[in-house]
Amino acid sequence: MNFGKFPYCKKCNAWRVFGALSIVLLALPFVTDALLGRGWVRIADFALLYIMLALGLNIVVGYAGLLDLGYIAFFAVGAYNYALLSSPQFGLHWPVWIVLPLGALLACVFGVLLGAPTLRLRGDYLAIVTLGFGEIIRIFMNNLNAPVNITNGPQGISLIDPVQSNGVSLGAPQEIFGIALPSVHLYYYLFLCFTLLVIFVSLRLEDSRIGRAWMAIREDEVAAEAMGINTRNIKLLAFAMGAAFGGLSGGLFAGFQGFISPESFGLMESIMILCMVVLGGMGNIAGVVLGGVLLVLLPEALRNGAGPAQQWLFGKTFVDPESLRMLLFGVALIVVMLVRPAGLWPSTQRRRELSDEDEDVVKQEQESVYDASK
Amino acid sequence: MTLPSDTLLQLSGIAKRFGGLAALSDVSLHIKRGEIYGLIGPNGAGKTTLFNVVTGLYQLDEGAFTFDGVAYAHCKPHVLAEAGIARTFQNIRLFANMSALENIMVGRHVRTRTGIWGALTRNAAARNEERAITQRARELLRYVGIDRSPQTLAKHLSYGEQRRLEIARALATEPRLLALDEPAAGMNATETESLKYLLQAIRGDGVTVLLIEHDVKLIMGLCDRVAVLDYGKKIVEGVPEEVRRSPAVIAAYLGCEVTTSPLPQAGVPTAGNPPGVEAPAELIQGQRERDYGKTPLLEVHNLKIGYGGIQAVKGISLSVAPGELVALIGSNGAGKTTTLKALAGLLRPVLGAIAYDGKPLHEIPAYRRVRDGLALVPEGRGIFARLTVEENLQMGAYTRGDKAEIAHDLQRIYQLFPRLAERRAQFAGTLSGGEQQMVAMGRAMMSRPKLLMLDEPSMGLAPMMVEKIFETIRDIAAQGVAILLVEQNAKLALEVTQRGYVLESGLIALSGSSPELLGSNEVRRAYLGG
Repeated sequence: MNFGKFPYCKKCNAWRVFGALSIVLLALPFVTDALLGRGWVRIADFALLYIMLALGLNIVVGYAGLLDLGYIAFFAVGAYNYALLSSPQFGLHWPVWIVLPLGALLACVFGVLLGAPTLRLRGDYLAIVTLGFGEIIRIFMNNLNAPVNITNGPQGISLIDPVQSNGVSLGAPQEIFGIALPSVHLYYYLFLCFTLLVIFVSLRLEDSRIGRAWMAIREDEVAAEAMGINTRNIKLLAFAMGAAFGGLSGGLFAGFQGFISPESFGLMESIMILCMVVLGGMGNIAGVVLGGVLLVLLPEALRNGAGPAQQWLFGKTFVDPESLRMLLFGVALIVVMLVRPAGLWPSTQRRRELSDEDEDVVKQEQESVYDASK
Repeated sequence: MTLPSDTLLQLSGIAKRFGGLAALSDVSLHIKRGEIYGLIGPNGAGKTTLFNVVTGLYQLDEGAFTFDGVAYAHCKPHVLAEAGIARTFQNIRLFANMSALENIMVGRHVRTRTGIWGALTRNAAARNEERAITQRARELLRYVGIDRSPQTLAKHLSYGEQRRLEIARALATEPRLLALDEPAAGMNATETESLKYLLQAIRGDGVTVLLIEHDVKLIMGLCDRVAVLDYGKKIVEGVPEEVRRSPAVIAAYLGCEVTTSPLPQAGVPTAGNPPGVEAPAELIQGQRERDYGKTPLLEVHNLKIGYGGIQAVKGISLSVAPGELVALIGSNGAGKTTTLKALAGLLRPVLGAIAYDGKPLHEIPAYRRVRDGLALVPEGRGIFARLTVEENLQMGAYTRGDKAEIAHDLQRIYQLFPRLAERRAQFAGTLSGGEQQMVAMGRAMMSRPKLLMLDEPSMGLAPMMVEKIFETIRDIAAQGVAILLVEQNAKLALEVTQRGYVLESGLIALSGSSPELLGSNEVRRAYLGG
């Protein structure tokens, strides 16, 4: 809309940024591998999974304004769906292009199941109910090993098939165009593709009739309904869309990890994803992506940095890096929210608004009824 | 029942109860196609309840209503919106963090159909629809006369613009019946006048209008027919001339005090202030407060306040002497509320000095200011809806520890507002607008203020209630409390006060004694619509 006076150059810049970003993202696993080691490529893979989750939750929390504290349940549904259909657990090895969409669809169904009874709830009440829902799913997974063993209980499911198709498995190194790519690199590119897909879907939804309806419900549900929005359906749609992203990344997680157990789907994870959304900038895709990257990288950096830093400063390790990590992480969260309460990268609308206001002040000043000439 | 073909909305025997209270009982009326139908009545008469029933926010207990021949009782709001009933809200309910344009685009939701698939693929149909939505929204923005950037967030629009944006949003749903709940509330005379033209234009486009309004002048000048509600019952219906002459209406609506003109706020200058008296030149930017010779209780010097890039107050100086009644008037967005908020400590001024009781005020936090005798009754009243009336009043004495004295003061407040004594155990949120204003004022009085700041005490109140509130303001002043009164209704404010300041775009444009200001042509033209 408001791209200034030189749209041509702006467009040029946009393409340059796009090009630079593509190169960085493509080269990232190789650079990280060379500089920091393979472990960090793995962390980058996880970062992408979390970004997908955060973007999914952003639809529910950021767009529609429905506080969901049990979002990880959809991740669990997707992961268990994949694990049960592609592992020795039942001896099933369904192809990935059926299992992944099925996981997203199943999560959708669970999203509606969660959404339907909570339609009348808002704010704190909704948060409590969704929190309970998240725990129910986890406890179910924990206990569905008797009388019939479905989920293998707390032991979890192992030996899950890697993502594979037509005999090409991402679980083993592959050679493409003469470049040898280890498994983590392959997953990185797969996750990158899915993340871009999720970003694309989010962007399209945000700027659409449906997206506006979500935001209207977030702003004022009564007014939205009075304007003819069927709030029941639109809210269920938000739950379903958010859950679908969760289910998708859950399936990818199961294939990537090869092992899942209920432990991975605790309340802490739900809160972590919510933190990514809030800290990054609720409702803004770029902000949520940033939040996801930071909240995955920061604890890892602290894990790897806290021990050596103490050694260097004091000559010995006073505090166990593992416990120090969460302390520093908490402090960092508090500091960010104090300094930037709207998130690190709030939605563009607010910035656009600021420039508008400056014009208005000038206008107001010119409009005085008590003009000097009178 | 057979309907005459020109009837758009037919209500028969509508009743709505809340607990034991009958908000509406046996209300029947019909609205014809293409007319402007006014609904008036004192605060708490059930006007908004009727709106909520017709737009599906409340489910009616008895009776039935048909819209365009189809029965719609017990329908959800979105069904009624689709049927063609759109509304605005008494306390503006825009989508605050969405742009002006997006607000209207949401209104198009019900007449468009792009779903998830269309949004993702952006196929030709979706693109065309989106283009049409944007175009229509821009048209409507112009139509209601908002000439701001369409990207301005709704919450940053001025009050009058927000009211207009709500109308535009409602129009976007292509209503056949547009229900407006007090569209002129908080508008000055000029804004009300242009609202009148807007409503006439809307009717000209074939939309039937149902209008709740306290501005009797607007209702009488605009409506084809008017119904009067009192205590949930329709007492009169007819053309404006009949209604304004009906003794029942005068008794119920304007109170027992029948003056020469049954329509207050009609812009007639009062007897004491002959019209046409020019404001003496020295009044402009004058510092007449020195003449009063008392040590000021509150002295403000060169106060500047800004937020988010806007400078709302651009350097004003004013003073209030102990026990003095001072008015601060000006059009919407002039900076009146901002000034009061800064004095109460809710906003931090950019620059300037405030001395209160001889001490600099800027270091004292908001909660301490209350203890020092500086109390604010905020715009929109800010009562605690889920506490009882008595609990609300007790909250006002939060800063005090003297139990016996508090009990005594509570009795005093009940003497001041006997209506509150009757309702002391009721939740404050269930009171009518006027009663809520009483609670807010009573609560402020409980802190035993030396200076009471009132922000728009008459907003959204019926004339009789306004009268009552202003009587109480006089009573409070008679007890020696200084009052700084911010009011949209300049005439009322200047009649009750001794001195006044006129704020214009963040600067003091005029100041002087209230009778002088009331007589000045500039003030009359700008604020009284005379």
